Amino acid sequence: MMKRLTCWLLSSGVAALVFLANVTSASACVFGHYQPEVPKSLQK
Amino acid sequence: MSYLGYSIKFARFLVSKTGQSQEKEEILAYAVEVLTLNLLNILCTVFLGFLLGVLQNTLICFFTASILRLFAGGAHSNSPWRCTAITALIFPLMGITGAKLALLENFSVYILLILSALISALTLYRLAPVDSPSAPVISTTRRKRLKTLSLTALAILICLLLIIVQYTPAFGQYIACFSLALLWNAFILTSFGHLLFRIIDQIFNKKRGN
Repeated sequence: MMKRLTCWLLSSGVAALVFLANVTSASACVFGHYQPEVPKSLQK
Repeated sequence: MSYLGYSIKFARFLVSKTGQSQEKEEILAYAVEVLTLNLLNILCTVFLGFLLGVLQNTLICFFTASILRLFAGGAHSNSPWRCTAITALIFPLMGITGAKLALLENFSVYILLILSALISALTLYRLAPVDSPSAPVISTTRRKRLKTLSLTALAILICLLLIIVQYTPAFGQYIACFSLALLWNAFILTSFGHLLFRIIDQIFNKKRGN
C-alpha cells in the first residue's frame, strides 16, 4: 500500500514537473533574471 | 546538461524511481531548476520587501515586471545567485522609490504612468520578445504570438491597476511602483539593459578570478 502511494506521488510529481517545463519553455523566459538552458526537445 | 548539481541529482532520482526515459531526465532537471530558483527569488524579494516595510509596493513591482517578462523576455544574468540578488534588491528598491515619488509635491503619478506606459508599449512593439541563447525563440509564429501577448498583458495590467486604485487610499504609491516596473521592464529589453547585466557579471567574474 505504502509502496503504491509513493509510486503514485512520484509519478504525479514527474507529471507536474514535465507540465511546468512545457509551460515555461513556451514563454519567452522565466520571470527571474536567470534563464536555465531549455532542453533541446522543448525548444520551439 | 548544464544544470545545478541538485537539479540533476533530483531528476536522476525521479527517473530511476519512476522508470522514465533518459530524455525526460533533462526536462525534469530543467523544471526542478526553474521551480526552485524562482521560489527562491520570490521568497528573497518578499522577505526584503517586508523587512524594508514596502511589501505591497514590492509585490506590485514584482508582479508587473514578472508578467511582462514571461512574454517579452529580456536581459539575463549568467549566474543564478546573482539573479536572485538582483531580483531581491531591485523590486524592494522600486517599492521604496515609488513610495517616495508619490509623496513629492508638484509631481503627478498619472503623468509618470502615461509616460511609462507609452515607453513600455513602444519598447514591447519594437523589441519583444527578447530571447536568450539558453532559451531561443525559434519559430516566427511563436515570436509574433509572444509580441501580441506582451502588448495584451500590458493593456490588461494597466486596466487592473486602474481598477485597484479606485479602492485604495495609497493609489499614488501603487501607480508610481507600477510605472517604475514598466520602465524597468522596458530597460531590460534594450541593449543598455543587456550591457548592465554584462557589466554586473563581469565585475563578479573578475572578483572570483582574483
